[in-house]
Amino acid sequence: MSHTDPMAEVDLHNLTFTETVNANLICCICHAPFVEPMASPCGHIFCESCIYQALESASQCPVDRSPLALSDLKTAVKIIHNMVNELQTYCPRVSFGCNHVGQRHMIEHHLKNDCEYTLLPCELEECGELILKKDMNSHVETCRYRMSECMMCRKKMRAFELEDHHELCPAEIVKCPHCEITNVRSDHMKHLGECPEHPIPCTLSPFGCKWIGARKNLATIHQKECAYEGIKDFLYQQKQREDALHEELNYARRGYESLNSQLEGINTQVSHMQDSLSAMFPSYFQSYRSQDMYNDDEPITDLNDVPLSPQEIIMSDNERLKNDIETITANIASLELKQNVALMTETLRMQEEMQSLRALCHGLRMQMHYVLMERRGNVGGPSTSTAGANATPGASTSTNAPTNPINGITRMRNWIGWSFILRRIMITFRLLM
Amino acid sequence: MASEQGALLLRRQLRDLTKNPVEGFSAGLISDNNIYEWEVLVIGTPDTIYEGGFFKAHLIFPSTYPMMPPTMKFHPPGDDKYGYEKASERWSPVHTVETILISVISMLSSPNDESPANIEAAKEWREDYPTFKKKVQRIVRRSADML
Ligand SMILES: [Zn+2]
Ligand SMILES: [Zn+2]
Ligand SMILES: [Zn+2]
Ligand SMILES: [Zn+2]
Ligand SMILES: [Zn+2]
Ligand SMILES: [Zn+2]
Ligand SMILES: [Zn+2]
Repeated sequence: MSHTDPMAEVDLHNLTFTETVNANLICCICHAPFVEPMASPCGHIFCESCIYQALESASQCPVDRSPLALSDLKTAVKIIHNMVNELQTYCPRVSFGCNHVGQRHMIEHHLKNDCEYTLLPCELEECGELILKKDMNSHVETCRYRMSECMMCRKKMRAFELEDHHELCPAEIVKCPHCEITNVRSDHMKHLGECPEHPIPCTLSPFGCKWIGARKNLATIHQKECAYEGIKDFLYQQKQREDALHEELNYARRGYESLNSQLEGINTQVSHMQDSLSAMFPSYFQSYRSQDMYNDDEPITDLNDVPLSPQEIIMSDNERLKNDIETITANIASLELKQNVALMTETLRMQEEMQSLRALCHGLRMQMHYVLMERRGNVGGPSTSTAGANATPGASTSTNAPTNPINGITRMRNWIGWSFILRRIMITFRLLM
Repeated sequence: MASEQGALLLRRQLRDLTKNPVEGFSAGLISDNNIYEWEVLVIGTPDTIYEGGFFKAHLIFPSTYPMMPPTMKFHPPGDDKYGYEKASERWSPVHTVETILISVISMLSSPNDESPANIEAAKEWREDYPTFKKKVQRIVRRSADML
C-alpha cells in the first residue's frame, strides 16, 4: 500500500512521557530514555542503535573517549531495562485525541490493538482514504464508493454514481412535456415519436416549407394550405433525378480517381526508370528529366520542341564516336607515313655520312702508312730523298739522329695528332652504329 | 530512521532551548522548515575582551548528526578575520547545540592556540596581544552598533 503504514513500528525514541525522566535513564546520544540499553566496560550506557552507529564513526566511548569496540558492549543489567520499559508514556497518537497512558513496553500493543486513533485505510479499494479507527464504521456507511442500489430500477452501483443516476434511470416516471401523459423513461422516447402534441416540421420542409407545429395539426390543417403540397410530385421527381445524377457523378469521380492513381503509379515507375538510367548515363538523363519536369506544367504543342529521346541521343552519340575513331585512324596512318619517310631520309643521310667517313678513314690509313714507311726508311737507311739530300752517305746513321732533332719531334707531334683524330673518328662511328 | 534520528534530536533541542534558554547565547533556526540549519548569537562574556559584543554564527548540521559534527561559521560584522571556527575532529555524538556553544564561549576567552581555526589571528594573539585586543574591541564595538 502506498500510504504510510499506520502499523509501522513505534519509534520508542520519539515518545512523550508523563513525568520528567530520571537523567540517569537518558541516553546521552539521542537524549531519550534508553531503548535496548547496552553497557560499555567503562560504565556508560547507551541505546543499542545509538552506540552501534557511534562506533561506526569512531571506535571510542562517546562520553570519555576510551577505546571501545562492538564486542565490548554487553546488554545492561535487568533493572535498567525494567526501569525504562515501565516508564509511563502517552500514546503517540495523543495529538489525534487518544488519551491513553501506559507503560512504554506496552505502547506498541496498544497502538496495534486498542488505540482508536490510528489511521486505517478504507476497506474499499477505490477509496483507500485513511480514516481514524474510531470513525471507520461511520465512514463505511457514508463512503462514496460503497455499494448501493437504485430504488426504482434495482440496479446496483457505487454511491457517487447513484447521484447522477436519477437523471438517467430507465425506471423513472417522466411526464411528456407536450401532452401531459406520464411514462417510465424507457418508454418516453417511443412516445415522443407518436405524441400528437409534439411539434414536428412539415414533411416538405426539405423543399423549403418553414412550418412547424403539433403532429396532429400536420394532416388536418397544414397539408391543406401548404404551398409546396401542389408541386409535391414534381419536387419528388426532381429529387429522384438529382439523386441519380449524384450517383453518376460519384461513379465518374471514382473512375477518375482510379485513373489518376494509375497514372501516378506509371509516373513513379517512369521516374524510377529515369533515375536508374541517369545513374548509368548521368550527362543525358539529368538534363532530360529537368526538361521533363518543366514540361509537366504546360503540355507540349510544337513537335519540334520535343527533346530527343534517350535512344536517339545514344545513337547520335554513337555515330559521332565512330566518326571520331575514323578520323583518328586516318591521322595515325598519315603520321606513320611521315615517320617512315623521315626515317628513310635520315638513314640515307647517315649512310652518306658513313661513306664519307669511311673514305676519310681510308685516306688517313694511307697517310699513316706513308708516315710509317717514311719512318722505317729513315731508321733502316737513306731510302728517301729528304734523308739523302740532307746527309752525307758516310755519316748517315751517326749524324742523322743528332742533326734532325726538330724533325723527329715534329713527326712525333704529327703522329700523336693523327692518332687523336683517329680515336675521335672511331668514337663517332661507334656512336653512329 | 537513521536520518530522522538527527532531525528528532535537533527538534527536541530546539524545544528545550526555547523553553529553558542558556545564558551566554541564543539559538534558533535560519528558516523554520529546515531543522538542520541553525542561527546562533553568542554574547561576549563579561570580564573578557569580548564583553559587550554579539557574534552571529550559523551551525549547519549534516543529516548524519549526531554521529558527524556540524560546521560553524561566524558572521562578525565587517571583518571575517577572527570569526571562523569549525567543530574539530574532537567530535563526539554526545554533543548538542548547547555543549557546542558553551565550548565556543570558553574558547573565546582562552583561544586554543595549539590548533587555531584562524592561524593569523592566533599568531597575533600570541605575539602581539595588545594589537589583537584592539582589533577584537573594534569588532565588538561594531557588532554592538549593528544590533
Ligand atoms: Zn565510557
Ligand atoms: Zn540513545
Ligand atoms: Zn492510543
Ligand atoms: Zn471509503
Ligand atoms: Zn434506477
Ligand atoms: Zn406526449
Ligand atoms: Zn408545409
